[in-house]
Amino acid sequence: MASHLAEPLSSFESVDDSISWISGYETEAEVLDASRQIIDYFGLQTFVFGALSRSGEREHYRYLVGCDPQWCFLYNENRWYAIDPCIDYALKNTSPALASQIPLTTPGQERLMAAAAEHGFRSGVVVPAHSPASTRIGVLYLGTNENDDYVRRSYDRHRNLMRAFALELLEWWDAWLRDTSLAELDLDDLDLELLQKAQEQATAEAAAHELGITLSRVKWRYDRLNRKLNVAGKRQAVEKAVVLGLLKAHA
Amino acid sequence: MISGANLKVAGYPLAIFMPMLAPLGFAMHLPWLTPVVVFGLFPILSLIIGEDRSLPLIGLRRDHERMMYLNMLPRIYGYVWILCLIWAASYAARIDLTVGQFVALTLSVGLASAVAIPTAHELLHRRSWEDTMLARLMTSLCLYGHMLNEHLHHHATVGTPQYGSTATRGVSVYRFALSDFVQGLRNAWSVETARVKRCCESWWRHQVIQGYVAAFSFAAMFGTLWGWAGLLLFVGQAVFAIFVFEIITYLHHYGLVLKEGEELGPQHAWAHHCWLTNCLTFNNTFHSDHHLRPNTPYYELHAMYGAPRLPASYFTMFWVALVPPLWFRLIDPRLDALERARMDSSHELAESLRAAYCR
Repeated sequence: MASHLAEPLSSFESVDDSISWISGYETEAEVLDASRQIIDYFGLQTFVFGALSRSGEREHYRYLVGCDPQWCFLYNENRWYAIDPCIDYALKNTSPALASQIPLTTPGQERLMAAAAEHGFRSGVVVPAHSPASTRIGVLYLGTNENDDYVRRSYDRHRNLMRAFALELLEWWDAWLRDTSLAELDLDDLDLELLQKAQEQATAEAAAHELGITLSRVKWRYDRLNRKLNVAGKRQAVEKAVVLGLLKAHA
Repeated sequence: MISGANLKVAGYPLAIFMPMLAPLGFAMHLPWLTPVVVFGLFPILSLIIGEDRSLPLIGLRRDHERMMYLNMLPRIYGYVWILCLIWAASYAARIDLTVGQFVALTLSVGLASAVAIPTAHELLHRRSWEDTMLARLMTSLCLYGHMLNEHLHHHATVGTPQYGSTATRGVSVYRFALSDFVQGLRNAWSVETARVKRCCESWWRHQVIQGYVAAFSFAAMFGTLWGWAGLLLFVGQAVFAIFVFEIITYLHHYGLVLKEGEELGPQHAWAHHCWLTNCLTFNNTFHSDHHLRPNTPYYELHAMYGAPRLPASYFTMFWVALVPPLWFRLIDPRLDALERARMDSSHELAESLRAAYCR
């Protein structure tokens, strides 16, 4: 899908439209283009969108990067995601906040924020986005090299748009992840329905009766699903399917 | 024998004329037109036209316009049939019909309804919400509120007589029709109840309850709008349609029981690949293929090697099934021959037993 954004965005309505178009983009490059123009309207320069998915005890992170790639390299190399106060804030809150309002509790966090300031995040806004049941959490960092007062003015003006932007990015991410997983794993509708039945804790026989296929075919399909997902059983298959965005997690 | 794929694509809309036959017959003062055409003319035409050996069109999936047309046909059938049902109820309420005319009207609409059930069956295998809802609406209008759940259960248990839907040898169609309907309701109820409990859903989400609430609401609506005549016609066409559908199920699977450890195959459904029947029922006679590929759209189904052959088309075998001694006399020797072929290491069926298949 071609980006709808040829010219700089200049009104609330045009940004609102741009945000609502995000879910229709097919590639990461299109989303990045649109995102850059949206944050430009906010008067900010850099952004990173991190998506965190939880399945059982495990957590998985993925990022959409609209800033100096060197910063991401540094962030990953230092494993700052483990102590990132913004992630911690997003996990526990749903409201956007100025980065300066988030308390730093360890020397490691202070080092992290100091390094961030050197890479385009001198001040900024942290916008959490939660999927239903909070099984997937998005954190949108919007940054600038301007001072905190500048960011506060942008935040006061655009707070709701920033929230909508983060939520749309999370939805796009979910859909993109699902489509990519489906294509990479070569799964069809019946595979998804069987995963859904496994998530409902239906027996193989119940799945056969409800989906209209023979028991032997259900068992064969589950074996094939386990091989494709590289897991040992149905429970692990469901956990992995949730992580890959193929299933919505139960509350 | 017809093998042209394009001709077949052009033949599918013939089905849509089925519900139109009733109003046409009454407009022409020929109230028995539909039963005469279906039970008299169609068996003769089936003999003349011959068997269907067409394969699905090559490259059909890239031809979006033709796919859209083919996908639309069962939906159009559904809408035309619903209009026909409404017309018939209002006609029965408006015109002072004799008993014979009323029976003819009910049977005429009932025959269209009997085709509506396989058409709903085609729609319920699709995954879109709209098609599933239309299928459920159609089955509710035939007072067959559990058809969706039962049919999926049927796919999982075909060839296993204790679950119904596969008549054991020696069972007449009359015994089968009632027991299969009741067993089907039991199957659908138990599967759906287990699902509702497992998913902690409210009872209102129970699809069998929904189906019958809709069915009885439609009955009440017909009674309210068109009086006793409307209600009687509604119930009459539904009972007749279900009976015909049960006969079709009987024809499909009579005596073809899965053996211990045997996998489902083309040998578990009777076939007679009549071109006309296929056009009128959206390829319902390619039943072996349908069982092996349940979610394949009707226009991609084809005849399969190894499917046992009925002696004549569905239209003819319908009459044969209604006379159990004749049915047993014709079909039981075929079952014996099938069993002999199964025991024989070559598994070759005699020519007379082999359904036509695509070459």
